[in-house]
Amino acid sequence: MIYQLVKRDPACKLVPYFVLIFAAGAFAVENWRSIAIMPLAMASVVAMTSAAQTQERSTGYLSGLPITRREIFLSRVYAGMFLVWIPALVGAGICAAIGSYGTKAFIAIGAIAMPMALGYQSLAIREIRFPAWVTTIAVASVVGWMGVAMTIFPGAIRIPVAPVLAASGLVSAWVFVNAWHAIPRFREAPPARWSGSVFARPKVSRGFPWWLFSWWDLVWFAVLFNLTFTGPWTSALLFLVIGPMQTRERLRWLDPLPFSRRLILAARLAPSLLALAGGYLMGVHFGLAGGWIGVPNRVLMTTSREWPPLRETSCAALNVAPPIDYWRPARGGAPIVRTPWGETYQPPVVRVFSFNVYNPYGVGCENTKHFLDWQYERASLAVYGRLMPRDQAHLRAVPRLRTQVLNVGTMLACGMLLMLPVMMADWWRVRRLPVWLRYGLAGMVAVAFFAVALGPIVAPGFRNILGAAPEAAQWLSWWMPEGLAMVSIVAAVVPLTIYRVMERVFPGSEWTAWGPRTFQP
Amino acid sequence: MMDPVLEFKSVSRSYGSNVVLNGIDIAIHPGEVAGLIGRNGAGKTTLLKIGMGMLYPHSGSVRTFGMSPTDEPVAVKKRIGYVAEDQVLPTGSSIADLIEFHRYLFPQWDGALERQLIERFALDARRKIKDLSKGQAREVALLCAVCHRPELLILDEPAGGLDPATRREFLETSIHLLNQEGTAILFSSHHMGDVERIGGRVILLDHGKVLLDRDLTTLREEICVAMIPRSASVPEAARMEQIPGCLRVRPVFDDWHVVMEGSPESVQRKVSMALGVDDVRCVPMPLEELFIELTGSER
Repeated sequence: MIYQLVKRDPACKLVPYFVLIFAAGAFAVENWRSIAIMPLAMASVVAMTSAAQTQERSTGYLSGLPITRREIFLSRVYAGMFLVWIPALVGAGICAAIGSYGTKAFIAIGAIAMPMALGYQSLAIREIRFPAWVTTIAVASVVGWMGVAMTIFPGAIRIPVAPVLAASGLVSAWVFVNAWHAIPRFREAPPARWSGSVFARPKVSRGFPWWLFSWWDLVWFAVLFNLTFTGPWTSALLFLVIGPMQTRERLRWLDPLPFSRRLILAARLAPSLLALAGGYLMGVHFGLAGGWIGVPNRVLMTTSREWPPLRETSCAALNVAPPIDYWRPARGGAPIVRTPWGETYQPPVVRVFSFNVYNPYGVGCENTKHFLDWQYERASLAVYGRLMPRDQAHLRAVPRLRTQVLNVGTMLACGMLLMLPVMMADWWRVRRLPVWLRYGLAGMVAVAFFAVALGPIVAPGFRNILGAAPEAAQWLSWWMPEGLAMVSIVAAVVPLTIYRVMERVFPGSEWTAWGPRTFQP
Repeated sequence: MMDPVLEFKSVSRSYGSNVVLNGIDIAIHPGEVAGLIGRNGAGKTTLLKIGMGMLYPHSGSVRTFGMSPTDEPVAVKKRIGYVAEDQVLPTGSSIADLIEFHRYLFPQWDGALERQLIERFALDARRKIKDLSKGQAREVALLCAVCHRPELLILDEPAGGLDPATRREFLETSIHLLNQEGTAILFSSHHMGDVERIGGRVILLDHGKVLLDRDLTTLREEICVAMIPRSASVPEAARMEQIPGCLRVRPVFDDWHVVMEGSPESVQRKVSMALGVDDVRCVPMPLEELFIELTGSER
């Protein structure tokens, strides 16, 4: 019986998807270190929540069948274990096989997730329900602190696995035994009341339609904010589509009412996009977003010749390397840098993101220490806005304003481009297409989505592909004339154009269930 | 005649390869009460949702108050009341919240009618939607659908799942509140008793087409079923279907049941002459029996 139940548990059907995500994540950890752990840890939170929700959904049906509640509970525990541990162990196994240090992190994710999943079941058995806002704030806080902790303490990836596993085992055992004794042994016990959603719909009221959102949306906003706040905003885009996907069901009651779909679209999109852009802007200004497109996001004093090549020859003399954002486009070659006292330096032209640029603050092997100091001062003034003592030059630099504007425009455009196919699935023009064509299109979109989202992670040169959007923004910044006017226009026009397309598609979407409620025999 | 409030012209709609509506032509005029009947999956809900602009027709056109409900959904929905069996109300709201929201959406909201209905349904406005019974939730939905005095009320199996007393109370309230003021009502139902009690006009959908569209009184007087024994001398169904006025032929155990237009006397004469048989019985049928004769399977 348990096997039959586990086999049919919706949570088990999610296992292959999470295995894929965690497997891709294992390669990402190797290549991307702590930054990749955060989306993975968040994905595990999503996994747990999905597991809990799907099991809850199935309970209403199962409670009507001649199955003891202990059998139902056990099947759920097994399904939860599979959902949490199979992906975690796959991730850990891949890390161990390729010699990555992420093995412990994956085991820790499983160890933390397991008692949480069990705890959720335990609460459900006792019919204990916290108010939606308590649950949501708790989850949002976990997600929030996870992001902050991963950024502030990148060493957190070196988790002491043994104590975490021991604690997890103890807590899990305690929750299990406790829940087991709380379950009536026989099925004649009244089934738990499962009607309604854990996340009750909010109140309706006049004014701004806050009721379009559920408490659960806060979690997605927190995830979006975190990921952009701490740097990897392309990962945040993957989470951007989840909120609107959930919206459809919740807003169905509005369909017969004279309510503008455009208003719903704007109200639904605005918080997600604000979280995305706000997280990025807060991140760059408050110093948590790391430099992740090649050169550290600070003024670097180095003798290195690593990418991008700072010098044509090796020597022991220090060089000054500001963030890549502060390099200049070399149109017709790099100009000679000349000091007031006549010392000169010819910066090499290097090709970065398919664009010829040079480092205007570079120092050659033959230049004097006086020249080095002079260049450092210029770089410090340009990057930090003030003369920064060298021992404080490790402070994170704020990107140039034009780069910020372009990055925000790019992330809004990319985000809406990802949401558009999801929205189009409900568009009446798409819905009327033959089934084979719709599935074909959906398959193509899914392949493209996973190719962008996961493929680059497992492919060797993933950094360049995953970072394509920010690199494109950087490329644009170099390509376009100096000043803010042109970049602002470009950063605004592209997202607005995509938004206009969404405005045309969204009112034409059908919110009703697919197909008639019953078909003729 | 006044312009129709709702008009379907050659409307078709499919779900994948399943054609649910196939060239539907219906017009509902102001003040008219029409009952839409048909088997499960006949396309009743799809048709009503197309009329609301919630679904798009794949061909043909729909005009609601002379406007396209998909191009001008807000203007159209301001003038419509809608209650459906599967309608979801925001469960976290109280009745008062929901009413306030509807008052905000519909400037012409009738506060006196709202109070009257709250009293009539004995609703406690402070209660949350999620705490209401199915019947109470449907009553709240009806209240929200009628208090702005819509020009067209669309009810999609509104009384489905309700007990007979609640169902009757619900439907009578809908009809009496609005129809006497000239509101057109289009409702779908599986309960033929409801249709007979309320409907001025009956529209029967079957296999995506309008099989029957008659005034209820006419339907009672001018449709009957001829029952012919299935003996060797009686021709096959195909020949019986050629008789003028024949709507459906189906074998039922030892008889052929032939649904015919006309009074029982005239049908009896017509069938006897056409088939050359004497043993023909013609009887008028209640709507439920007629529904089964027209849409039921062969036995």
